[in-house]
Amino acid sequence: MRRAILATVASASVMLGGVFGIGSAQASQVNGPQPTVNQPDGCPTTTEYSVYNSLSSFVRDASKTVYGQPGVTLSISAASGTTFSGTVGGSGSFSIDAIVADAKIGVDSSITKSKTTTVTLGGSWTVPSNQSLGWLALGSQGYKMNWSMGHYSGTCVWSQTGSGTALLPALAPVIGHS
Amino acid sequence: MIRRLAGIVGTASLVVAAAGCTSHQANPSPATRSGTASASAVPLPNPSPSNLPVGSKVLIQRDGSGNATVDLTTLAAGQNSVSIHWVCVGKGNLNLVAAGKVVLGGGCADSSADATIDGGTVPIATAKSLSWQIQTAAPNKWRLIVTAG
Repeated sequence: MRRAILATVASASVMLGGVFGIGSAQASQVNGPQPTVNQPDGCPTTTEYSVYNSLSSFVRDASKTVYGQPGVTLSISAASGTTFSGTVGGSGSFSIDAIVADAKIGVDSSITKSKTTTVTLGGSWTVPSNQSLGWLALGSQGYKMNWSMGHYSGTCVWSQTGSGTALLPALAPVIGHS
Repeated sequence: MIRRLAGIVGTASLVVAAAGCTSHQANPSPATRSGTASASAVPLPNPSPSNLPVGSKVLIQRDGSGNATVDLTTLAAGQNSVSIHWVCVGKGNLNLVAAGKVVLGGGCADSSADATIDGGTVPIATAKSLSWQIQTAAPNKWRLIVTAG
């Protein structure tokens, strides 16, 4: 169970199972008849990204996180102008900007790579006894999602060249805890 | 299950101050020592919290880099709790370890301009040891202040 304290009420939607970026038309090309017959111009061979399985989540920056044992009252303060970032990991040589751009279109237009505080944000919280190591962090409500990248050959055969997971912020910066 | 709470909830408090109102108090002349190396050239922010309670006593303030030891055994005698606040610039985390366990810790920021002030108040009654090891990567610069009362 995770809790997040929010300065603003988040009404982020939960999206499951959606596949973005690769349109159904292109998908049908993969499984369709001989592309040389039905796709006389072939498929574009540029790298394409897709994001899927997006889920609303509190996104925190590990470098803006404080943690402690039960009974310890944690505190954190971030001055105005402090920037925190989401994380994108995975295989292949990927472009974070391309993944973010795809997530903006397919998941939530508010998604971004990083957020900057415009006021001083601070908070404190006591780690309860049922958590072995609780945390308090600067972050924002955002999304956890899977991503993949690849390209079509000239004969419209899809080849995946990378995949991974992204945690990207979307709403205003807040202080959250475990 | 994910639970999201708005506003001030349970034991947690949330403070949102107006921009430009960050207080940088002058510290009441604590003893200042260096860690394994001086970090005086690094303009780390002052970790002293702006809402330090009246009557608080500064036990120790230190600048340093990498691992170090902070022994509060004598300094914190008779106190109910000690509060430690710090800033850390570098890679990875800074941990405060007592009796082989992480009491509290936090991430280090890429730059001093982007560093958060991390902190924690530790009840003396539950502390197994007040001889704390600061554990962080050698190049990491840190500045901390320990208060009580």
